[in-house]
Amino acid sequence: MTEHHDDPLALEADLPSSLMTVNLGPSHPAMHGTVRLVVTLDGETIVDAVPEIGFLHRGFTKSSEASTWHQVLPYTDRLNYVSPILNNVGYIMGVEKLIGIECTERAKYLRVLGGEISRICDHLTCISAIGLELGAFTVFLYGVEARELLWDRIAEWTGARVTTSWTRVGGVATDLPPGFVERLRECLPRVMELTHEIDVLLSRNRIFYDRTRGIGVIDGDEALDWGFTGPCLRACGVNYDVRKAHPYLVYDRMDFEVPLGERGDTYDRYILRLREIEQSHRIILQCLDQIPPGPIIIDDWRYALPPKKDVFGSIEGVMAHFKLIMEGMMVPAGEVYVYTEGANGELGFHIVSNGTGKPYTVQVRGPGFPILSALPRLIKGHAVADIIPIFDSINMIGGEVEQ
Amino acid sequence: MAQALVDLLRDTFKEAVLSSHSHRGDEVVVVRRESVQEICRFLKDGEARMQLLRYIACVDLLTYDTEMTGGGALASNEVPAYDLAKKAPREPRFQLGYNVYSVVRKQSVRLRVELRSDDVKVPTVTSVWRTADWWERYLFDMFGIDFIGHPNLKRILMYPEFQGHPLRKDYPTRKRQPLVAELEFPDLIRGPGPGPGGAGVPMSQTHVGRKNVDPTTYD
Amino acid sequence: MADGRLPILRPEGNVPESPRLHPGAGEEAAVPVLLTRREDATSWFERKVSGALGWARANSIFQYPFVTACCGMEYMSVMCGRYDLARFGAEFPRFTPRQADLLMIVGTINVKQSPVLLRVYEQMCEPKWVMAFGVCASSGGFYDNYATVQGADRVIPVDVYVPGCPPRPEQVLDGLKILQEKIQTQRHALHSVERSPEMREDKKRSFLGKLLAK
Repeated sequence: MTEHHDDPLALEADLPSSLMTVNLGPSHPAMHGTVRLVVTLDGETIVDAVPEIGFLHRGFTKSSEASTWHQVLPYTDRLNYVSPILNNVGYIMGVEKLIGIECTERAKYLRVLGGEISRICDHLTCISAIGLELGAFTVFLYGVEARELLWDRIAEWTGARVTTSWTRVGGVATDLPPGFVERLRECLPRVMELTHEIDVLLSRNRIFYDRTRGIGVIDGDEALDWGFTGPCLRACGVNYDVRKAHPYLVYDRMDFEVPLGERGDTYDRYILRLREIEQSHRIILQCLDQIPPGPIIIDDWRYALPPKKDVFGSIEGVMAHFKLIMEGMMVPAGEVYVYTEGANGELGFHIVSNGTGKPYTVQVRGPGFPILSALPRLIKGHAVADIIPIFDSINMIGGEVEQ
Repeated sequence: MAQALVDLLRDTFKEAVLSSHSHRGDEVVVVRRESVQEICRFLKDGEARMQLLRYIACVDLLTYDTEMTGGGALASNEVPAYDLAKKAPREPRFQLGYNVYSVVRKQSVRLRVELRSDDVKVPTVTSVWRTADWWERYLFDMFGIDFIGHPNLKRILMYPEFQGHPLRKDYPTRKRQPLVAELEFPDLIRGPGPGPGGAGVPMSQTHVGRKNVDPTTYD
Repeated sequence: MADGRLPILRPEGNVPESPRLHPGAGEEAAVPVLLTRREDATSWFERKVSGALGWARANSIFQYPFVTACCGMEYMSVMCGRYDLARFGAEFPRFTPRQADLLMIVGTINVKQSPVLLRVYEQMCEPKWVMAFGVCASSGGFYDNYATVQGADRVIPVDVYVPGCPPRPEQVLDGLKILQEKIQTQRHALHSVERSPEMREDKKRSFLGKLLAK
């Protein structure tokens, strides 16, 4: 970088300097999810970086151990709070795997539908944040408006905009309301139009391209070594998507592609998320065409709450309801690790049951945790201003990293 | 497919592999603690090509037989002090599970290592997968497991002043260790929270009105 | 009760008496009378200045969004086009506490974050207000465990609590409206810093200065 001259009085000689330590966070607009980054700088160049996390550790595991199986659901919403339905689906699939049951056919489609809508919301939020923090405020407004349209649909379907707690063991909690499919089909083109607007604004934008191309490069093998999964891994060219590798629910009946990047830099991670929004859109449309009619939850009262008319009308219903609420559903003892494709990567739940109505432990494999651990590796050698696009493209969500 | 992998492991590491079983489609291989590094290196570099360490889980089996259910506020995961003092802890107490995956072969396996409560040490696998660095720090923070050879075994989620390891079953759920002295507003009435576990008795108003409430316990 | 507050349950047992729990006893009876007298003592001019400053401060809030968790998503919605916070004057997030009036605690405060929160609050200049956005900031939410501070009001004083998990943007706007009313009715003066006795004796103040600074 700088040339060294023997004569200290030469005009181009090195000025005596030392490394500077700068602290970013933990309360920092760009460190979403409260991460503290202590960077050591040589001028503007990052020599070393030490992330410190734990500022959003909320005791998910400990609180889950004190709750019944269904009471854990709201805690899972708040893990990846930008795509909560995906967390709900992941956790409930783990419990179902432990029990050894499957949900109903219609519930599978509904879970996929909800999950893909949530995935679009997550990717939109990530892209909007990248735009916002690089100065493109309009992109943020478009992205949040698109997300609002989807949240309107989710709110009328599950009852909540953000934290849905919507899946149940053996199915889902609420069915599609009347007229939902038409309203969804109406709003999706507008969402895709806004996404296209963002694409037009950013993807071939000189400034954005210069700020993101070649920044934060990592190659596939090293990324796997660091534990990357999801869009960050696929941007390096490694084709690992849980929906294709180990299809669950009805993903094997959906026709969609998995976009892959080439260079593993920030620009690839951004473009990949845009393309994944388009693929999720395809999946949603196919879901809407293929959803079969039927029950949304299994009829087994050991695990699913009986319908209200049976709770109030029959002894068995009352007893089943009572036991399920007061004791929790009895899940056979065992240990299982279930993994689904969350919006940021492989979302894993390691669930252990001791045969009672409470989980013995529920531990989360948040996809953002290993990617954040690689952050120093990604930003080393770049300028301070490059931390922002790299950190945004990782899409670290504090809830899942710090549980 | 995964069974072939388990057989390969058993054949290659005859003394180190203690047992194996499969539960709900998950292949679990119980291995000796001393050979964890060797087996992981074999899995990663050998033909199994398990390049992705997904997760290292830890289960504290202290109250596995005694934890009861009672639903919600009635459920208790607090270990009675009598049990801790008088009864011998269940051995082995900790079970580590290394969930590894091969992207090319699409296979996964879980390596289980069992630890006794008086000997909570395991060799690190950071030399095999770089991602193990933070996962092991997380387990050290939450369970107090000592990873021998780890380059930077410090707390990662809790703060350095924190005493104890929160996810152990004998750490009370609500035992907070505040960093900042908590404010007390005498005219702010806090409602009765859930009871301190057990019978689910809500706290009485006396507890709420008292000024000398200890913030490190059930508050 | 006559003053409109909820009845306070009698505590049993050996509880130290707090004078505030028994209004009407001792000095407390004097407080309302003092306030009234102080209000009478405020001149017309001062009341007008207070109203004007209150209006200005309420309608141009510079917020510091201390965003930690999921409420941040609803915060983004509140800021953007649909549930526009800019209509209420509170648009500009000042990402430094030195320039902010309103500390919006958006999300859970856990024990590790509490010294950070305290420090940020202390870095803000008077007048400052605090809004607890969401149940986690109001009371700890449903995270009643070792890691979470049971409400940001255990660390710093809070003016407005907006419950919800996360609160709908309309709830946040309602909370902001309540805060604006609170700011409007507070007592503002042109000089809000009490001068020390030494300073008061030293400086000779002009008639206008004395008028404005009472």
